[in-house]
Amino acid sequence: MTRAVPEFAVIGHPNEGKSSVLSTLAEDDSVRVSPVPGETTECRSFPVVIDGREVIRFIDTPGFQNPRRVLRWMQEYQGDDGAMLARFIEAHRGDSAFHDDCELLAPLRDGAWVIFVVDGSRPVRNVDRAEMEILRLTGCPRMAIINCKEDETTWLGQWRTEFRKHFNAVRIFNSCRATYVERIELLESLKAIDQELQEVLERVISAFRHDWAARNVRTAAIITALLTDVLSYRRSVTLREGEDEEGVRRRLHDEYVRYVEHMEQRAQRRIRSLFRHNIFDCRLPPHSILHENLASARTWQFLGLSARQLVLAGAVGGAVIGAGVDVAAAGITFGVFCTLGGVLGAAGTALHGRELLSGARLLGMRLVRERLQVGPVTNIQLLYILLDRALLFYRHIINWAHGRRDYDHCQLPDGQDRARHGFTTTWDRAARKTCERFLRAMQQEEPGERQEAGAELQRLLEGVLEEISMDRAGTGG
Amino acid sequence: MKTPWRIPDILDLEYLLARDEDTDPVVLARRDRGLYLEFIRPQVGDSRPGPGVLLYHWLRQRRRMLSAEGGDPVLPGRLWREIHGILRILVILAGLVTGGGLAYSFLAYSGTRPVNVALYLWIFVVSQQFLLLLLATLAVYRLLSGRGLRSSLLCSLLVRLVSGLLVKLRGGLLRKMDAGERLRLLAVLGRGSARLRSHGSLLLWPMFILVQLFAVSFNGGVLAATLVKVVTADVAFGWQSTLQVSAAAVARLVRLIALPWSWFVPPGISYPSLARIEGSRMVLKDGIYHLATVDLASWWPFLCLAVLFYGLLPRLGLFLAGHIGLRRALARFSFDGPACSRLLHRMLTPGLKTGGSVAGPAGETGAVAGEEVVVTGERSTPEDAPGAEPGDAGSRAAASGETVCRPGPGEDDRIPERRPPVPGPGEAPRPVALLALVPDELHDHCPASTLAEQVMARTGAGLAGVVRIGEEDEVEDETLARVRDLYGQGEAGGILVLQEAWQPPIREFLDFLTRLRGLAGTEGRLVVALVGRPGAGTIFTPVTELNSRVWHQSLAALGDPGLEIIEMVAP
Ligand SMILES: Nc1nc2c(ncn2[C@@H]2O[C@H](COP(=O)(O)OP(=O)(O)OP(=O)(O)O)[C@@H](O)[C@H]2O)c(=O)[nH]1
Ligand SMILES: [Mg+2]
Repeated sequence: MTRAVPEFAVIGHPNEGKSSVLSTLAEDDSVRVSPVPGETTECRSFPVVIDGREVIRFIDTPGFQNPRRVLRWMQEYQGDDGAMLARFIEAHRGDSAFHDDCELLAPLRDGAWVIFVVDGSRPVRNVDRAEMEILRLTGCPRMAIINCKEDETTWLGQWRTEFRKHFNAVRIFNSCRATYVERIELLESLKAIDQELQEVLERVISAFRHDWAARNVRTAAIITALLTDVLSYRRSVTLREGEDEEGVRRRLHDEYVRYVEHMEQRAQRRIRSLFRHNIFDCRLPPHSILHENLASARTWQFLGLSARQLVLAGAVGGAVIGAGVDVAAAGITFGVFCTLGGVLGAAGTALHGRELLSGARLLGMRLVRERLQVGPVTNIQLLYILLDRALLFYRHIINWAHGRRDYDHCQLPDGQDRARHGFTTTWDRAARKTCERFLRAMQQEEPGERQEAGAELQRLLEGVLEEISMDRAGTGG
Repeated sequence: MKTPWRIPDILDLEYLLARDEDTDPVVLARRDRGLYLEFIRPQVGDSRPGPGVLLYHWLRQRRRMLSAEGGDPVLPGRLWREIHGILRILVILAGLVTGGGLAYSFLAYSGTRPVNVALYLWIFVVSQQFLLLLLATLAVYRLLSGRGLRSSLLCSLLVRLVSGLLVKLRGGLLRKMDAGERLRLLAVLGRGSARLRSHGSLLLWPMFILVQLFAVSFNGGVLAATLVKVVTADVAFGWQSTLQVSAAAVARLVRLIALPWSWFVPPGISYPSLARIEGSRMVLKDGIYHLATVDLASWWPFLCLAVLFYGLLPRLGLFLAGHIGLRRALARFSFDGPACSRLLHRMLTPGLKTGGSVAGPAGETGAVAGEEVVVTGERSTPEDAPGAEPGDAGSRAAASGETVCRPGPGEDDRIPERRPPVPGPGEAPRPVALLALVPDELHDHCPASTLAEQVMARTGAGLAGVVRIGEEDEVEDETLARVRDLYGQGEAGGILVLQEAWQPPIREFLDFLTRLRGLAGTEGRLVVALVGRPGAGTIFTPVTELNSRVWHQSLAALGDPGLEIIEMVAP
């Protein structure tokens, strides 16, 4: 049959992670998932809509409740093969014991392709063989997905051997860790299950790619806008008679920090909804966090400057740095990663020079006659720090699979770049030049140059985002 | 058989056992062993009483403890007693009022028309006979179909009602719940219906008795009202018929009706003579003025005797029968449930912790505890009881999540395991052997000796055999037939099914269990033994908490009161 929208039923034993796989594939975090088996009792279809057009549809189904009985019925069935499923459903409609089985077979009767999901971290059982045999008897085009719920690889070989007998394609796909690339790869491998799917899937995949690229462009634009707002910030206040200049400076500085915090959070919210996360809320913890991270030595150190640079910067700034900085630099591993994940490392207190680069030095402030001019920012490190934070956030968001539900203890996937501090430290000269040009443009009042520099930065970011989303690091399996 | 148990006691026992479910097993073991040593054993002596007696003593001690602890605990038994008392009074009053009122208004006689004898008989005798007949038919039907009161009509009706409700719920509400909530609700309902199944017959007898009480007082009311009317007013009884029935035919019928009492009551009173019947015939067009008062008054003794013999006495008989039935149901009541078994186990097993700590609350128990060891474990001495190997002591106790306690070699057969027939006092209980059903996939990794050891440790039962089930090409019916054959031949008194707890409980398996129950009968043990995911070289691994909960709830939803669930390895 040919249909405009390919339809895939996600089928399997109860509690194997069918709904989770579907949630990740369809980028829909509203799919009901539960550690208690029997969560899904009714089929529900989840269309993937790109640019207002439905490109593919996944159907969540309940798990098999009577695999052996169903298989027996089918083995004894004599009659038209094409009508087998319809006959089965007809024969068992009224029997509440077979409700789930009828429900899950209905999409197959209607010609859906099958994605069979198993938990690869457990051994194969006879009921699984019965289920595979049922699928074979239905004759539906099908592929198998091994979704390992635990890090247990003992049984993978067994599963592969079993699958070889029954499926045209097998893929490992971890519903909790799958990245964009893995989703695309899964779609690619779906092509193998049916000849006629190739063309349709080709279209679907290209729609996915386009959509992804478009999201990256939008993300780059959001980040560029954030930087523009933050770096070109200007204010001037008239100092009144007898007013404490230092106090005003401090107040202005605090105001600015709050402003940056606000803008950053807004940008993060926008990025988050671009990637269709509704429930999972990866915003940074409120208030103090920016203070803690934007202006603290830790942030600067891990995102902007090496420990040595930091010492220098501190020295230039006239701050007194304790010997603790160097020691702490080795001790704190990835504080910001943790912070992004909602876990604030306790190591921060170990730092002596915490307020290192805070204070008036963040902004250019100068007293012109009786007016205190604030901004624009002159310190390029702020730009790098904001960039790094945005990029980290982006990576966190795109790698947070929609099927993943352990929100309470959300952490970044482990093993991710322990060594690397931020993205920007590894940038080449050209990229740095772009950034410098951008900062300079922000300091000037010239609209043309601002626009050009902004566009250049945006292009740079688009490339970087693309790279990050293609990064295979931290993927499971 | 005499039994001290009454319904309120059983309710209290249930309640107290349920309360113990969430108490620390160590505390429980200490408490129950203490109660046994200090109070129960001195009373029962060496008579080796059956579980019913032991539990009854325990219940008395627990009630005493509770009232000592917290003033006046409201136990369900007391509530039952109170409610039942009130109900009894209400039922008697209702019977008297309806019976008396009905008869009184029926006998209202204005002097123009005599009371119709046939109608009186129809309303107060025949209709009651009809109800009695219905009851008898039902009883005979139940007897013939061999389903005792256990599957009484009311029970099955209630169960059907609940399950019908569930089907409706499934459509709407249940679908909206998440799987966890749904499972919890189904488990609660299942436990309720299990209780109904196990105690249904017991609770049915009081209802039966109440109904009889109503009928007795109804008849009493009728009788009383009739007598009062006869004594205080001038009531005329007559008969009439459109058909040309002869007085002789009526007289024959009347004599027939009077058979139960005519042999000892003088003829004039036991039924009216032919002449009087002739004389009390009413013909509407003639009026009643020509009828003799003697004739019209000749009917009432007959009517009263009819009510007495056809209404009151049978009901009194049934009332008594109800009491006897209740007595017998109570005597037959089996204390086989898993909770009772555990309690008995706690009382009768000398424990490491218990031995030392009994002295605490009891005071003078030191001597008792010392003596205990000598009496119960022939081969154990006071010294080696506390020194028992923790490893092997743990195995049994850990299974049921209980204390570290270990039956001594001689002690083991003192634990009343569940046996098909109720053991008489003094009868040494025989532990049943279980037929173990092991899934195909586990069978080869499950040496019979290890399994037997584990099963003995967890359930106290031996293995009657091991059956491989769930092979790839075998259907359920064939498996079941195989199991039935083996179960029939051997001396197995129950079935144990080994099951991996990480697998979700699917319909197919749950239905299989139900069919196994049918095979084992209500008296046979049915045990689901859970193991975890196969681990290094063994299939006997602990079950995770979540899996354990899911299985407990799913199995509870089956509503099988005797189904036991054990975990093969302590978490
Ligand atoms: N750690 C981990 N957990 C997973 C993974 N996939 C699923 N789970 C968990 O497994 C449980 C069951 O997942 P579901 O997606 O609800 O499974 P299902 O097959 O839809 O289950 P039913 O609807 O009950 O048939 C949930 O608690 C998931 O969070 C995985 O890849 N890793
Ligand atoms: Mg599901």
